[in-house]
Amino acid sequence: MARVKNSVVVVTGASSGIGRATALAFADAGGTVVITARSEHALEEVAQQCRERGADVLVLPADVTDAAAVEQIARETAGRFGRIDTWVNNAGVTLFGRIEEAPVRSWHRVIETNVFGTYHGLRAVIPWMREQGSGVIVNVSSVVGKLPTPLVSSYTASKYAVRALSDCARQELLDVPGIAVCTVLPGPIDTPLFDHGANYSGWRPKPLKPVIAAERVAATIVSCAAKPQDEAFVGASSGMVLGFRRAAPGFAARAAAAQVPKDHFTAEPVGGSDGNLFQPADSTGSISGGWTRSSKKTSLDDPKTASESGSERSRLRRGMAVAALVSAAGAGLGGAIRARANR
Amino acid sequence: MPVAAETLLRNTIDAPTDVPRHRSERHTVDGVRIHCRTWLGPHGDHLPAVVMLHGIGIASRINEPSARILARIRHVYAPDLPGFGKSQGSDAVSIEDYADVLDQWMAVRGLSDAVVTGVSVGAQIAAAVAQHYPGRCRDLVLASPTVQESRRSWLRQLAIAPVEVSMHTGRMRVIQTSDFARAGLPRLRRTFSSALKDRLEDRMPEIRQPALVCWGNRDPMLTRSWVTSLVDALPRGRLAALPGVRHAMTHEDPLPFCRATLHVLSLSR
Repeated sequence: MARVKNSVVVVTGASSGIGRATALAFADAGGTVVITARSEHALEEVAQQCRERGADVLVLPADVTDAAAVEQIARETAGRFGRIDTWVNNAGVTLFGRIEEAPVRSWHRVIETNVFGTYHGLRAVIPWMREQGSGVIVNVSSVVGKLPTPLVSSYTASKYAVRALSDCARQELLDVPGIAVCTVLPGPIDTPLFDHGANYSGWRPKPLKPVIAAERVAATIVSCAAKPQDEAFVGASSGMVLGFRRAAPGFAARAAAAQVPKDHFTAEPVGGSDGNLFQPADSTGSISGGWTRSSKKTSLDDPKTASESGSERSRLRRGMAVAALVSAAGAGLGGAIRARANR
Repeated sequence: MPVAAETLLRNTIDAPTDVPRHRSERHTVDGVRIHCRTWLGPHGDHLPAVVMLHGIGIASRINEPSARILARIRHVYAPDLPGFGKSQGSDAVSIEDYADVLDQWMAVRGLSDAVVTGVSVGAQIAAAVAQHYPGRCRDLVLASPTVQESRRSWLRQLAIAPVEVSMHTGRMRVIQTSDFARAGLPRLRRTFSSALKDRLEDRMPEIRQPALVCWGNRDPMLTRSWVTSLVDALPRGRLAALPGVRHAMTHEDPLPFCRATLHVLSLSR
């Protein structure tokens, strides 16, 4: 982690979930951490946890939908610490509900935060990184950035766009070999996103299984900063699902359309809400949303044990075996149908 | 016009990177020829100039990389102290002596109300200029300010010096070797003895100007607690703790130093 020690890292959306875990992971690795989110009191708690790990930390509350505010974060960071080595565009919100049922302004707001927020981050940090000739930009997309998912259309569209933005930025920065742009694509993660998100579906949402601890995403982001890669998946289920989709796209789309409404929601009915779209959540934030067994019995300060439990891993292995069989069968069937059609 | 320049040119990315080459100037101060490397930046007429002071042994060339960056926005003057670099020798050897010479040199050169920066022992001299000649200095920047109170002996300094030298880049070693030879051992010994006697911490409460203390966390000569104590003693002090930055920051890590300096200058107006 030579590249992370003594580096200066900006993390957006650091008040909870993946952003919070990422800030702590960089603090553990010897980085200087600049944390931003809308909720100052939640950030102060994260800052205290970073300081306890011996890191220098700067709290800069801001809304990533405000381009000028994000530019000021980059300016303040470079001015205070002299450099920006890693910039993590993580801030994200979500909205559950059908396209025609969710309010227009809520749908727009998800795009504004997730897509415009990432764009504002890129726009703010690139001049500083160009000048210093080095840096790593990590954009947090999602496995749904490659996989259409019903009832979270704005989130899915935003994560496709984040991936596209990363690819464009990487092309534009080819003239500076010292700058890398990474896209991190996590699968379902145990964060408060499912409780904080806007919801017009009528039911309380939950993450699809298998659920991964946010600390694992944070570890991937830190490793991207140390050794950049264009795209990094987190969680074996992501690769499995994408392989399934490549092998049998039509079947995968129909399977997702049938399964997601069942598996992404609990049986608990809830009224429509904008969640944290327009106002930050009242709480001081947390990394976990309490969706894994381990998260309920694990201290947040102990990321090593906050990973999947053994039983979750075995379920994951079983799921992968079934999916591999289905993929192979789908691919074989598709091939046979195509061969027959060509005859 | 000055307001517009300060508003728009707040930090390094706000100005084009092409800066004219420096020119060598010589002025006679009290019978001694003082050499100065001068960069006249395109916007310098509208903003206070920067005067950069070197430390022991390595003369104005230690400030050259930073001067080239600062000159995108301001005029920059990097003089060689008497007996160092291309300046003539004189009887001046103490921190106070050098501050007196600088006051006279700035008068001859027509410089007042400048941003005065110094690196290492140069920071001690810059602090003395700010204290005794406040009209010459409107903002003070102390980069890696020596000598730490708990390490104020030849033995301790000689024990740490090899660690610091081992971090130097090849170009820094070349400059150091030639500038050490020019200054000569007797001047180096007498100047450093004076630096060891100088109690920088006692000057801090007397400095009324806004002051920035820059410290790199890879500096083996100074600890964070030392620079923090200096900032605490300054009436208008700020600390820039720069990750990954070394002792000779104006040469080895010029961009972080310049960004931190310009950032604070943009805030102090």
